[in-house]
Amino acid sequence: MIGLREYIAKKLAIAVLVLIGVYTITFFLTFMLPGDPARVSLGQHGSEEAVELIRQQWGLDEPRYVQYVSYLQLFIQGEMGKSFRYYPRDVIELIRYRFPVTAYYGLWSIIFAVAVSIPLGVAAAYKQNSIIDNIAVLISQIGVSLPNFWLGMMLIAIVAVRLGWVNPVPEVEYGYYWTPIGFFASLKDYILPILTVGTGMLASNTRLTRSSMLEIIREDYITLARAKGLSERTVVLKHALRNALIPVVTNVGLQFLLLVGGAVLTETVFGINGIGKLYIDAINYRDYPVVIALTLIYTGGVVLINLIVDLLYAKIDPRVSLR
Amino acid sequence: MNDPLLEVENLKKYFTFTRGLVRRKTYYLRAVDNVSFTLQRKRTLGVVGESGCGKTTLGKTLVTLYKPDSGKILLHPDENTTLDVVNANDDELKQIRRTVQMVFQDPHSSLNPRWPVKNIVGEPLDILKLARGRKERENMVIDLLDEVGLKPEHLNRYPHEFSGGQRQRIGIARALASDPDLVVLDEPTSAVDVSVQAQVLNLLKELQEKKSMAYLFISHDLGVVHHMSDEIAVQYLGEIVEHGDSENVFNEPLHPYTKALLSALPVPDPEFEAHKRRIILKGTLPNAVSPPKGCRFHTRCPELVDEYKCKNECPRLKEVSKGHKVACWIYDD
Amino acid sequence: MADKEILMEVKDLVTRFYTEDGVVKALEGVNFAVYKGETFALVGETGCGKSVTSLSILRLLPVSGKTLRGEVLFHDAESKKRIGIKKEGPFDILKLTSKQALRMRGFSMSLITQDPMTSLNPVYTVGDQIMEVLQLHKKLSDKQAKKEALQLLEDVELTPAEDIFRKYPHQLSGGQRQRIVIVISLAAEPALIFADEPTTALDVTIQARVLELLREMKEEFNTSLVLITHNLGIVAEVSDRIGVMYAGRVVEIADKYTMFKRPLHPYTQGLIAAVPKITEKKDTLSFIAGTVPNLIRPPSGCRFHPRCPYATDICKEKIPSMEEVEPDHFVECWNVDEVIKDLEKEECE
Repeated sequence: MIGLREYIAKKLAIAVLVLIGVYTITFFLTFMLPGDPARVSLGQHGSEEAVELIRQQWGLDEPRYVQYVSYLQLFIQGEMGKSFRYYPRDVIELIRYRFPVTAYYGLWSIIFAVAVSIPLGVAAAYKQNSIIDNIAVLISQIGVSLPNFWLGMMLIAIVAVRLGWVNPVPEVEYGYYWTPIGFFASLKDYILPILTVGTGMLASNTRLTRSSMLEIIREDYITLARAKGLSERTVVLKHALRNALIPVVTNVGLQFLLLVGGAVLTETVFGINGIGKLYIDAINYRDYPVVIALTLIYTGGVVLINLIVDLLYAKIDPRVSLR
Repeated sequence: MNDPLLEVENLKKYFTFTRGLVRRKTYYLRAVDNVSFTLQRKRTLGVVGESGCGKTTLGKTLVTLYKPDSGKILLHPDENTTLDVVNANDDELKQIRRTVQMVFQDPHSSLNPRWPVKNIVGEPLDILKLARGRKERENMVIDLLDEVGLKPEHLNRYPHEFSGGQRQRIGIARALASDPDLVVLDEPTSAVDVSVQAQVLNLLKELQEKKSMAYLFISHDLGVVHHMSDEIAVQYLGEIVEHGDSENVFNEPLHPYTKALLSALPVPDPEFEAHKRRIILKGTLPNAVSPPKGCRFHTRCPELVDEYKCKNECPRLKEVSKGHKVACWIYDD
Repeated sequence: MADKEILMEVKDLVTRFYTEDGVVKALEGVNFAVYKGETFALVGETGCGKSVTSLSILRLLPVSGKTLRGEVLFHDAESKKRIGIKKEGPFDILKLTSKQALRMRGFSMSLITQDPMTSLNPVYTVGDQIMEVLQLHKKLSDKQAKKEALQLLEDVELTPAEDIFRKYPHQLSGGQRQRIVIVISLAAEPALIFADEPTTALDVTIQARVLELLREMKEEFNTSLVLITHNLGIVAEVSDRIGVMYAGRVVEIADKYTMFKRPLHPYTQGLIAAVPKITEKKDTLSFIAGTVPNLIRPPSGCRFHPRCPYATDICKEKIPSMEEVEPDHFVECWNVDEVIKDLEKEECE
């Protein structure tokens, strides 16, 4: 057992090494892609001189290792460089602009998944083989096997186009969704992306909660809790649930990470200008600074979320010691 | 009568593990610490002790499943041969594995669930190349099954089709395949019920007689050990603290730990129980990673003779009466 | 025990489990009684139904299990007050509503389970888990409950109690945990405790301490104990009376001295003879031929008849009923007269 501060410091030190490693791999892989960013940026008809000029401006004419080091220096200073595609705008500025909308529907997806899956999983386990259990199993099986983009398109086709209940593409003013009223008011517009992303999460969380709960309610200490004369409510909510949630916490942590991958598809389907769209466009346009920056931020997110999950774990389960 | 089959001298098996990232520190778990004994041919030595005392490690070291850190293990398959178990080359190792076999505690996990019985029992025959041809192999397996009370029709069945007692019989048949001189039995009946246990124990005794084998019988159940053994060794935190003839150890235990162990054993005889003097040990079993200094039992010992000596000096196993050895300062004159 | 007062009578208890493989006829008419302040041992091998008996009485069977028939008459005035029963005489536990059963559990009877490693909730402190019972049944305030919990910890020699109170189960040894389970089971001072293999998972020296403690606490709280075990040694050491179970029925009941000295049911005889004892050395152990029956398709009639040396035709057809063969010695066997004759013959020799 070591102190919390020491633990976090240790994890952050490891994170720096991981980030450098990821940067190195991404940098060289990205530059191995066919296609010259300057040429892509100017199109087929740009003159050789113009392309050369841009290459000089972007530092592409320098040897690889010089580029590698200069980017690294930039990152150490807390900067991310300038986008190729939107030159001379800062990469940070681009990301800052695109981030809120992805965060908005992503957060709601997770809230939706957690809020539905945990009660559903608990109820299913508690009444095994009942109707509610069958429904839960069905939902989790369908949810896990449905591809995200297909679900998104089906939702647009049915709910938006055929039934006309909501807009197929969200039409909300930029930033409105993060105002106190807008946070809820925008739900109607973003309900389809939220369902699209949330269903897969809901499915895996339900399945995990159910199986974990099934295991826990067979434990001796649950029998003993009942033998104490505790009501079923207390037995389930106090004694069983906290133990059953331990694996679910890891899963929800993982889902935050999967959001980014999911966002690429979802934002393409729904035409949302978020991080996922930025990412895929950056790759298509050979906007290397953006690709590297996003990959690094994603890696940082992975490390951070793992850290949070570890801390939560230790909070829920006293047997876990931070190491 | 001095016809030793197995001689063990100052055997040590430590497990090491490291903790800490920055300030790495190595810890030793002294599972078997300075153990010496001799086992005569056709005899049974019972090793008793509580969980974590190292009795299973001792057994596994003897059958070469673990490599000892130091000490000697000498095996005499016949009077003129000596095998050095610790420094054996490949050929000798093969011979050792023929001579020594082991039956494991849990008949559920020690048999491969995806193998039919004929492969489980036949495997040692294949490894040691004891059978010539398929037909002979099959006949040998059938004979082995017959010896443990199983039938030829069991050949193609899988472990899960058998009861606990039958599975333990399969484990015994596997151990017998190489016609060993010594079988290490690690808690062979702790997973089965009383009425089945009696059958397995009877079978083991019968086979011992028939095949002139010696047993090293490891168990925490003193009643079973008493029934099976000619000699008893009592192990505490890796060390043997008392060793003697079964009757002597049970009737006149010398070491305070043996006394406590025996008094703690519930005996299925109410009248005996009603008159028994109970010694209840205080405290819990110390950790074998950092065992107490001096006599390892001093933290729980009700009979400390010499505060200083018991707490600081480690008593050696010495013979107190004929064939009865004990490691305790009480018997030091 | 001259004027023994009955605490609980179990009559004709029948419990089934509905599994994918078929209906497990786990209990087939279990009968026994427990007196106030005594330790009654239920002995038998794996699958004989001894644990199912306690769970049926506590009404804690898993969903697949169901008690079809039987009565469990409980004689305890305080329990009646707590549950809210006005009627005279004993009450039938099996007839309580589930709300009443909640009040009964923990207050009238509690449970000690086998494995101290799994019987405490890993995510709550020891103190929390003890206080829970005190607050539930004794309606104590936080402060009072804590005070009493600390006292209980001191009683079982878990000191310093303040330290132990704040610990989580994984920070304690097996023996310490089992003592905490005992504290929890005693906290509401129930009239009856079921101890299901309370020391099977413990080492002999630790087991001795836990048994000693169980005995002391039982005296102090004047509780009755139903000890469920397969270990005949423990039975001989701590029980007053014994009920031997085989394949879902109690086949013999007697005080422990009689049971070990003069067992009359052929199964009991076989069981006792099969245990190796340090008080005598034999070359071979006697054993019971055959194996324990599968309770999905149990043998007809007396369930022991396929393994019984005394079996006759009637044994295959009808289940014998429990008879008081000698004073306070109950046996369920068609051929008990033959058994007695054989015993007398042996004594003459």
